[in-house]
Amino acid sequence: LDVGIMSGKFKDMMEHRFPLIPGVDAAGVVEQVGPGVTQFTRGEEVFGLFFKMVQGEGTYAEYVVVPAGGLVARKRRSTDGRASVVHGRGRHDESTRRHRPDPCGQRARMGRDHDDAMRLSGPAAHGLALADECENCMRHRDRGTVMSSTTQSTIRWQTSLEEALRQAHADDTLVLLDFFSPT
Amino acid sequence: LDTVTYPEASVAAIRTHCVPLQVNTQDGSGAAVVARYRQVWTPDVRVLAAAGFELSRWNGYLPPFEFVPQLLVALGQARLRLHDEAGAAALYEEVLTRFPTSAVAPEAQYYLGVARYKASHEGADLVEGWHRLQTRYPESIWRTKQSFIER
Repeated sequence: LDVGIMSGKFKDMMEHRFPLIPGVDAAGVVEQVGPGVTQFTRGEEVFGLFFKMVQGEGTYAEYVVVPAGGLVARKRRSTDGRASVVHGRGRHDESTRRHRPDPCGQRARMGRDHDDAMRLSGPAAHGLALADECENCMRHRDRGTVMSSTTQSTIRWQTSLEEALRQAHADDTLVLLDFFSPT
Repeated sequence: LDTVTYPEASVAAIRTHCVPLQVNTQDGSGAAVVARYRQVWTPDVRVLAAAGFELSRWNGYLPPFEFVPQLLVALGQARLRLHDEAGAAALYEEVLTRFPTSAVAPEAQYYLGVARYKASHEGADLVEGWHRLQTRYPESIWRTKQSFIER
């Protein structure tokens, strides 16, 4: 699904809000939990699926805030020392459901060692923080892969090598040379 | 590239890094440039110094989310070859921050260590950068390329 969204395959099938951060799956380490979230603690390894019909606030970012209800703990030691998988869905009272203006600024500050997430499940992992169940609380600290809704190129291509080199020399910059074959 | 990749605003931002030049390989108008740079197959993207010599290159179509980090890595390579280590490091850091899951991110991590080492001449800068390859991109060929330090 992620590949399909990023390739534009679903562009006409669901709303895309730009600039668009793709990503449905996520895995990482909890940095902080919001009020009312009791089933997870900081430092816990978690993963989850966060599909939304409106594409734009996905998980391809180093830090994300996600609803606790969509998370599952990767492994949690039971009292007798055996590893077990614990489902993340837990209770949430009225205070966690209610949306308040910019609650994430107070309730779910994010930040963590990115290496931990990478060790957890490879280069696609991201740091996670938990918010409550309110969809409007989704916030992203790092924009990750950002795409735009612009449909017309705004690149002003030079067509003369000599002119491009002259301009690069004047601007103390480089030339990007694109050889192309018209279709 | 013209249909999918270049129209994206994030890709169009390349104009802030370099002067973009397109050469048509089919209608004869670019024959001299094709010959000069021994161009064979499109898409073919090169980064040139203002003096005209080639600093880095890649072939093949890339969608926007891979094109931008590839471009940043190519520009980083160009800056490194021009002995602008700080400029190169900044470009590699941008790849690792904005596109940590892109195909070229391991290469950016590899050369970030190189760029920092070339600037500081401190072995620790190189080893630290390469150590991150072991933890972040353990399956990457770029991890293999520094694996001699793991012995």
